[in-house]
Amino acid sequence: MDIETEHTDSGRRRFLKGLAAAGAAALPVSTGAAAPERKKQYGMLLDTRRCVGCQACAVSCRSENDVPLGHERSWVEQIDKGSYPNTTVKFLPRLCNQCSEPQCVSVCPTGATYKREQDGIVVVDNDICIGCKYCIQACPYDARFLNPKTGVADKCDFCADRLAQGRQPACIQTCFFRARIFGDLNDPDSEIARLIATNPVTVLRAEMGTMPNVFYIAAEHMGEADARHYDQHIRVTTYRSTRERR
Amino acid sequence: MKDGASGAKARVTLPRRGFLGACAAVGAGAALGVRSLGGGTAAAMPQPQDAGVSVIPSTCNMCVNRCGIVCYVKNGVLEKIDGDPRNPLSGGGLCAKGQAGVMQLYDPDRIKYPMIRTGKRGEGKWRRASWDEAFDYTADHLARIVKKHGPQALLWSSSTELSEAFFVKLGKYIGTPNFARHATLCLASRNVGYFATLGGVPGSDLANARYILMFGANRLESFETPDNITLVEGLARGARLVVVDPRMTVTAAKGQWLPIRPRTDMALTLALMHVLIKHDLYDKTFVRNATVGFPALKAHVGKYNPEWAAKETGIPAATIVSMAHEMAAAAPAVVIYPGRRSSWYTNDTQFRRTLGMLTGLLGAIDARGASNFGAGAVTLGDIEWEIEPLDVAERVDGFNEKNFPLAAHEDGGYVHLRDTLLQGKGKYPVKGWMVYKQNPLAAMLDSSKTLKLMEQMDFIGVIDIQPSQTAWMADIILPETTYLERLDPIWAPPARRKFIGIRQPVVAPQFESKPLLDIIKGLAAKLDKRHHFETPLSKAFNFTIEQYVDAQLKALPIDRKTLMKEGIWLAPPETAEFGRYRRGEKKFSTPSGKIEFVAERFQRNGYPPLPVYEPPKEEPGKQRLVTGRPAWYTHSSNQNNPWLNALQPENDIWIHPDVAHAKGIRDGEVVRVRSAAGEVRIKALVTPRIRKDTVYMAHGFGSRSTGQTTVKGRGGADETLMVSQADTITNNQALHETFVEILKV
Repeated sequence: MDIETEHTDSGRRRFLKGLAAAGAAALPVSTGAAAPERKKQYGMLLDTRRCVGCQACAVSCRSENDVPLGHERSWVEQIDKGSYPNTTVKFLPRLCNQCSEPQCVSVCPTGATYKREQDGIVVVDNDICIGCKYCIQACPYDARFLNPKTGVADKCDFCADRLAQGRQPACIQTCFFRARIFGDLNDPDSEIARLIATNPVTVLRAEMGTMPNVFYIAAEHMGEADARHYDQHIRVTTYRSTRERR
Repeated sequence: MKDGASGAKARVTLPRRGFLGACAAVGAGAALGVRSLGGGTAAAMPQPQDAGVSVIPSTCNMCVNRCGIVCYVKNGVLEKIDGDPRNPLSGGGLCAKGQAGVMQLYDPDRIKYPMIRTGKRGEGKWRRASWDEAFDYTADHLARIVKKHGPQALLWSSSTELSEAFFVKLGKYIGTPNFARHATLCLASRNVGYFATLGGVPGSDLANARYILMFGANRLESFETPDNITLVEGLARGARLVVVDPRMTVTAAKGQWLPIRPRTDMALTLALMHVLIKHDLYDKTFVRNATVGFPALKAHVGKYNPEWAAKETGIPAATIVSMAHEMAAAAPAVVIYPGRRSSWYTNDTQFRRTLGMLTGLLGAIDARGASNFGAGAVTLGDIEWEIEPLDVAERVDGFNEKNFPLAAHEDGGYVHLRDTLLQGKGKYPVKGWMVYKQNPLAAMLDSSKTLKLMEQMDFIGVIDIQPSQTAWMADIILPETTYLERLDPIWAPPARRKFIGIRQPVVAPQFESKPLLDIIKGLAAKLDKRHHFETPLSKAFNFTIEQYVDAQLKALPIDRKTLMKEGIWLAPPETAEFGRYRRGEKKFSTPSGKIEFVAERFQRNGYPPLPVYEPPKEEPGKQRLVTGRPAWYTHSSNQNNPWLNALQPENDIWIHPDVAHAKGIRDGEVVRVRSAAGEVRIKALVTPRIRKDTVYMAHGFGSRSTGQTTVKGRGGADETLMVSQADTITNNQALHETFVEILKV
């Protein structure tokens, strides 16, 4: 199974390569060794075999986090491939990957965005963020947006408020099919750690070096740009209000 | 297992593909967490953690599944709805629609106070009225019709809802026989077909099935709890899923898609029975002990061989043969899925019979992983109704034992009713139309006819929460509260783990909306003032909703206040018992007590006792139109919800690439779609997920109601295009019998 399919969005990657080069001087060099050891690193596992693309998670997230229409903290893409009658339809839930080498943190001029010590969630301090949008540009996953109501950068924070109350994130709670699993990646006895250890998993854009903490089972990594290379019909529907897939 | 006397049978290994794809780690992968259905967890109600936040349990109403919900309310504002993990049918999940319930409550377009039409019907000119005036106005119009034409001149429409009984009772006490409920808009054919064959519609143990055959029944988009959940569990455990559908739905995408030629489904089921019998693959013991009519069935399917079926359906004969072998190898853990919406074709009842017959032939019933009867419901009490319904005239349209012997007469046959009235063939005039929680102008095929029916009415009154297409044509709209603002009769569904759920207000009624019982009481009081009914109508509704709920709970070990706090009461668990029907300890609810291949009820009433295949019509140069829905829409009820509309602002028409190419139509281009009934303009979605001879439109768009500001003018209405047809036995409307031309604009 080809799990390293590159996205041919070359213009974007050139920009980001430049960014990474600029940022490299400011960052500790990543030697491939693990990012600073955390007691807890929350992560998510998306089993796309179970996902039916019903968008319950996306709407639950919008409700929980007051995400304004026109923007999303989490969304589910639909990838149609193939020719009649050999067509496939797969789904790709998307959200902030809570990276261990987060590009957004490395470019933030104010330190408003940072990775939490206690659990590895990448958060934004709304009081410090100046809305410069540098992080929104930097994110390889297009997971951030400028919230028109607050004027600051916004993104999935694994429903940190719900976690503090002992509740599951809104997307996890609502999924009928348990396509989303949440937990502490550093706890080898956790359900998520066991599933990752015993299933073939991939991450998105592994080549970016961001070390995502969101994993996928059976993800469809192809996009419309791949259609030319593979000479087949591929349609990506993002179910995002205004944006194409990035 | 099988009757071994007939010798070795081909045992086909069920291929493990599709769901698990190329991944080899089947064993480990199967350990994915499952939602704990069946309830019984001792988990308490979630408790509020934030100051000022109330956590209130209730029951969703964004579709008919009525999942358990837990509502987070702060300062009288609903902030979030979570699923209730203790609910045995939904297990704590809640779909996009349920999550968007917040926006049903806060939809800026919702009806806020009674509205009386000032301009022409449908013009959208309204004036606000007080409830006192609204009750007067409505009672006045109804009473005038009753006085001039008799109470039978009222058409009384409603769809299933926890409080629907109050609306229906008012109609009964006024004295009309002309009810039109939702059954013939949806599933009457399935019910009658199954009742005649198996004695009822069984549940499906999808989680434990080894082979699942689904015709249409798009469970992974058209959710039906718990089946949508248990289907995914069954797939995760390696069940083989075969989905027969002219288009590739999400459900088809999770299994093997058989793109059948539309309206040839019966050819496939008859051919499967042919193969099962010819190759001795059927369950001989079960057939001998628990069915009647096998010799006639065997003779009947003799000519329906796989080669013949391949020509009819487009499904290769070898596929049909191997399906039969695989099913037989997996039996009894096979689910021949009954489906729900059976509003496809004019022969749906007979087709649904063949699904029941296949079930019986395989012995795929009363066993683990099969179809099963046995999910009962908690028995509720009833209020003591103080008056009896009146003796009433017969129905205006003769929808009765004599003319439609097997139909559900209480529910009415919508197409027959409309045809009768439009052709002036009613037994008497019908001049008034009251509608509750139903949208007939969108729901019925060939909407131009529904509009004509509306023209016949002196009065149209609609009780609804939003300005639906039907409400927009009314003379008065009476705003009901949403499900989040009212106490309703108790929810007690059939379930493996029996339970009851509360539906209670999580916020106060917004604006001037009223719960249905209060609307009925107001109407009853004003009607009594204007018309002498033998017993005053008010006397019938002389109770509060609290008293009604108390009466329902009387015999149960829980009271209303506790149920409002807890949200749910679980009956003691019952162990699933398989084999009682197989051993003859329990009888099927058919005249013979057995599964009937030859349907005695059909024979008695002059219908073919064994289903006879009819080749479908074709119209060269045209495509057959089918409809359905995505996971975020329910019928025509929530396309205006801003959170759901954001996912899909308009519908489109699915067209096969070759068809589009031949017509010079590009993906996303607006096209004209024309049928004998009407024409719409709609965007084309050029997709390989559908046959060349078929096109698909999701239902619920093209609304005439400009009161629905989010969705008005968006998309196209399938009901405008659909030619009026109905199943011959049940009068279930047949939505997939229309051929359309796709034309460039």
